[in-house]
Amino acid sequence: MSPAAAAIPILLLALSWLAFRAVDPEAERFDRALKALDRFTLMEIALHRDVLSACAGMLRNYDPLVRELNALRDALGRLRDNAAGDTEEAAAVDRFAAAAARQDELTEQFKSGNALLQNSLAYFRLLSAGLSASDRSSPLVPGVSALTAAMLQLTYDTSAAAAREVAERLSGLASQSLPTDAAASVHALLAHAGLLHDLLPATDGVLRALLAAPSQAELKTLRTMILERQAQSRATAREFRFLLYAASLVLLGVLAHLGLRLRARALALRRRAAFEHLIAGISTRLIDARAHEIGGQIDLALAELAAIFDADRAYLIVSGYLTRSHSWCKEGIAFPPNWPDRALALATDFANTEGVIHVPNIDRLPDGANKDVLAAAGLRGWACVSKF
Amino acid sequence: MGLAALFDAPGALKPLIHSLPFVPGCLALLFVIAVTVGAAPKSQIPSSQSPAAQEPITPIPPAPDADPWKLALGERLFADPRLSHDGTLTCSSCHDVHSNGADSKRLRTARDGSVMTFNIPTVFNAALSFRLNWEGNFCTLEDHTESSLENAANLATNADEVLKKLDADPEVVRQFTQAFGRPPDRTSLLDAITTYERSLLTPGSRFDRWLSGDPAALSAEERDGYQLFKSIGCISCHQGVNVGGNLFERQGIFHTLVSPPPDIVRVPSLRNVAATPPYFHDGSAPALDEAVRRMANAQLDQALSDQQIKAIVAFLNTLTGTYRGAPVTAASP
Repeated sequence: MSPAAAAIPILLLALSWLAFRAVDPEAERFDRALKALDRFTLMEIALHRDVLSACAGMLRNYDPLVRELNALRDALGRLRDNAAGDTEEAAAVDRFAAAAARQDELTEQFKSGNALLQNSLAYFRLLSAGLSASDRSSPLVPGVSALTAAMLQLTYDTSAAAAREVAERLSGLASQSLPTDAAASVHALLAHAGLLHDLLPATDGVLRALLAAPSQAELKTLRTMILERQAQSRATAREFRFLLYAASLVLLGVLAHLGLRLRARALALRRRAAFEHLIAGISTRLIDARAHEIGGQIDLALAELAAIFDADRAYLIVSGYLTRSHSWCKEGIAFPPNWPDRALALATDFANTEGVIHVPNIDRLPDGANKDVLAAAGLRGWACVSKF
Repeated sequence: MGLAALFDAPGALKPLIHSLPFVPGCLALLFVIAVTVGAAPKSQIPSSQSPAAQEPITPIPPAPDADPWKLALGERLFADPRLSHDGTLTCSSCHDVHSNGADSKRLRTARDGSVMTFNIPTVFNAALSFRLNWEGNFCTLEDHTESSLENAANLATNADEVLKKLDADPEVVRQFTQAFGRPPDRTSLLDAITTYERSLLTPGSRFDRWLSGDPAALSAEERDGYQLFKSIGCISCHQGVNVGGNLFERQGIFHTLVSPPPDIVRVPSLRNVAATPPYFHDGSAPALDEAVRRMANAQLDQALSDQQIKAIVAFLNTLTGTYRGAPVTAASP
């Protein structure tokens, strides 16, 4: 097997590997990860929207929050599955999941707190309105009004000062002596107000923490990591595409070279076959020829042999006691003087050990007497077989 | 200016709210809207429209589409004693789907003779809850099922032991192969059981029919009970498709409800509540009226009259759905 032929399977293997690398095999993995991150972001926005709606009393129930948290967990699961096998990315996903778990926890705290807030705010309003409206001259009215005002302030401003103000008003009202008919209402008012005193700042804090999106920083880090890896993967694939192109060109060159060699070999074989066929024909004719026909057959054979090699002249010299020769010239071409007899003398100078002379191009011979002699005979090339 | 005057003119609050920082503004808006809802307990929902669009409770959807082979296999496994270590218990030993999806006992006795900590919750509509168990310590049916298999007080086995037993039964192996294209393994075992559990929904309650636009589905007393349920604040926790089961809440806000821990529980679903006594995580309330009275006192600081309790119980009775066409019924003692 020639080196070029041996290179073909190696090149094909190299091409297959390059083709695999050139298609960016990790592209889908990165696309899936980015899709999961987009889904997470979308669901997080929906979660925050619904939390605010719940806070404003515009959400009918907490089922949408549950669905959104499930979708966030689902997106995290996809990210985790996707990062399996990549330690660094898996660690980033774990950090992100921890931050997302904090959001999950805050949402649960919000739901629990908001459910109580809704009730206590409603009860506080009803009870305070009832106590204020029942008897304007009641000694409880100033205390209830002061508590109501402080509570209203706490709904807008959940600072420690506002909470302290509510606590003071609560203590003030609790220390008052209560008329029997209003005692139950005041106790209920104090109970709900006490709950609101704790819940309003706490729920406000939970809401602030939740809307601050604790997972955003880790999400950004993870997205940046994935985008960087995606860009790196694309660049590598691009490099491999160039290599694939170069390897394809090399393969094409090798195949063209082999093709040309194959064609040359086929031509040589065809010519050899034609030559063998001609020799066989000449031999048959010479065997079958009668004595007086031999000379004519030799002349014919010389013409045929000259034609197959595209020679201008052909000759056969039988040297011996009587030198005999047969010659053939292309039409319009003549033998130089003393030729072909002169060939006998030159043959001894040119022939190799096997008696074969092959001078494809006289002009390429080294300068010297031989070249001059052949040039003087008008030869461009010379092929001769000597049998001594 | 008193709060009452402010609430009677909510439009006057808008400029004030908009000028405030965002989060306190939301709380302020909540204050207004929550009170507005509470102040109008008698508002009637137009019967010509489907009330579901406006109500905080939504009807139970049909059971999700499932592979019938998996479903049949899951149902078989649910009642298969090979899912317990000694072959004496099945999932349906505690969750009888022919009655209420649970049992009638206050607290079951564990294998070691001790009394279990929690009353058995119903398996019906469990798939609609955001967490499972009283403590809400499981997010998925798969996790819960595996835990039940391994819990020494329950089935006291594990997936490997169960699979070994199932592998020895050619008929079960054939069913697994039919459903999953392979012999039993841990994933397919849990998948079959949870596929069945997800099918255990009880749609068709009278309340759902009313939500879907049938005004005759509820009597006047039941509708009043529902309005009371909303106006006194039960709805704050018991809302959504499962009438609860979608948040955690502290128990004993104003007064003690149930002494034994945990203090924070997953709010239970009230679907089929009339058929699932006893109540609370320690099963300490044998009847629904007592449970309503204690809940109102402990969680809302409300002492309800007998008439109010009767109305709320009437409403709760309308939450009983159907399983395979038959109403869910209480378990036999």
